Amino acid sequence: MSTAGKYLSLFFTNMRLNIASAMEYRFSFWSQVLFMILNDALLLFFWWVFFANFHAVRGWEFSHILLLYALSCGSYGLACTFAGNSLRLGEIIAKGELDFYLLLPVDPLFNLLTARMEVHALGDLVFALILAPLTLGWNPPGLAMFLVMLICGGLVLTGFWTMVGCLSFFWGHNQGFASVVQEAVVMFAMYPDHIFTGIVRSLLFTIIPAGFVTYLPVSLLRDFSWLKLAVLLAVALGFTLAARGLFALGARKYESGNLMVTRL
Amino acid sequence: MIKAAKYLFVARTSLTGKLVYFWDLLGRSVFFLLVLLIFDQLWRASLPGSSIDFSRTQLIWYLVMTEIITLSTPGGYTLGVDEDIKSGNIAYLLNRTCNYPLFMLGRYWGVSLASMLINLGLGCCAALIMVGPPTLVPASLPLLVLTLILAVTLKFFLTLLISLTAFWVEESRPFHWIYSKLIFTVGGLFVPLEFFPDWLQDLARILPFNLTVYAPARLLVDWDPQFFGAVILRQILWLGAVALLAQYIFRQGVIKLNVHGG
Repeated sequence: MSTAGKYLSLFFTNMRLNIASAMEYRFSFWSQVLFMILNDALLLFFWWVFFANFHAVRGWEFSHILLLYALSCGSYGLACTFAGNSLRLGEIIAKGELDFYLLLPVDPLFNLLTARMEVHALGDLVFALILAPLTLGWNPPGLAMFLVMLICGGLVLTGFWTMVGCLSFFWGHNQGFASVVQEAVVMFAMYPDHIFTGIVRSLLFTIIPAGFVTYLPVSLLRDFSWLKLAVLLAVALGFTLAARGLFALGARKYESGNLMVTRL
Repeated sequence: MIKAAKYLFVARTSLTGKLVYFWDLLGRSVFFLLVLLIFDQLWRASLPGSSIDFSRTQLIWYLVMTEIITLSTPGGYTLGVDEDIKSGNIAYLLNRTCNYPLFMLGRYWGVSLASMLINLGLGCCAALIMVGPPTLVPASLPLLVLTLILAVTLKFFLTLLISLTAFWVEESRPFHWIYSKLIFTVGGLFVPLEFFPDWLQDLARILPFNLTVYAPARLLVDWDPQFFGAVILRQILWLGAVALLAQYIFRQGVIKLNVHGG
């Protein structure tokens, strides 16, 4: 089997096991998914109230916010569904639980990230897929572009969260810092970029890459340009490679906790 | 008196335990600063030229108060009740010579107070830099603190009510999400209820959620003795009703726990 086939097979096996494990508690599974959809819908409440009082903010209207939410929820949902351990990587490293993955004859980072699925994130993904046609209309090329944007956003988030988690190789426990930085990127991604100015705006396209999760994709969907698309694809690839590089560098410093771990 | 001292001791122990991790608490408060930063930018971009009755100073200080209450107090799973019930740990806690809901209230206040002190310091510094001081009536401060205490306690009992559903359902987390969103929406977390359409304002004012965040924050930025009187009365009534209901549901839950063998 080719390498790509082998990893595709591993990916689907992990997904199948994750879903089977989650479906063991059916009420829990469906309630988490359905309530997350409701949760996301209620998040739009603030903007609904906001635009009832202000007609627009620096060119952004409610329809643009819907697109922003579809992209942010979708990217988050994609990252947490298919790479659920990216948010927990720091904890796994600090606790010395990495041994299990290092001993297997497959890429440890790929296996580790895909080995867990956040069930509630499926709700985010479904919410995004419901919202997209409502905001973009029944427009197949636009919807196809939306899916590409989601994949890019998901890769940027996974890569960024992985890099933050990898800092545990060098700093040890950093859960407090990691959770703030990980939440910050999602939080900033849910507000229109036009309200941010100066240094804050620069940070959103560098240290906290919210700009590549929603701002650039929204801009692309509103006004397509090949250059913007190329930049977004390059950034998504860059974050993925940088995360892999940092993990490989950090793994050299990893010290086993001699912990007996059972994956159930 | 002795009974109250017991729960105060629980609160003091939790407070001391939490303050040991001062730097960790401070690190977590960065999130609070980010929220303030985002809203400062949002109000800067949208308020000029609008007909909103609130100034940027008022809206930022309003947010400082609402966020201090929501970010400092344990909500949902972090309260620990759901986990106690699901793990069976509650069986050990029931053997203690104390009332479990009040024991948790003591713990909740201890943990909340530690975070509140830090968030208060940070929030005030950030708001002073962003918009300057609020227009305060000095004589209103003790009354504001009283409203705040009642708001935080009411929030505890509302959270407890949801956590106690863990006696009956295998996953209570989704109910906590919805509750947090009710605080976010009809509770007036980000904007005062005056921003809402009239019909929604009326609905929000009937529900208890606005008494946990909106009411204290509204009094901070726009002190009104008449409004204070109405708020305090409703807070006491809701607190009494929700606390009694929580005790009743807890007892029913314990019976259910015994049926299953504990």
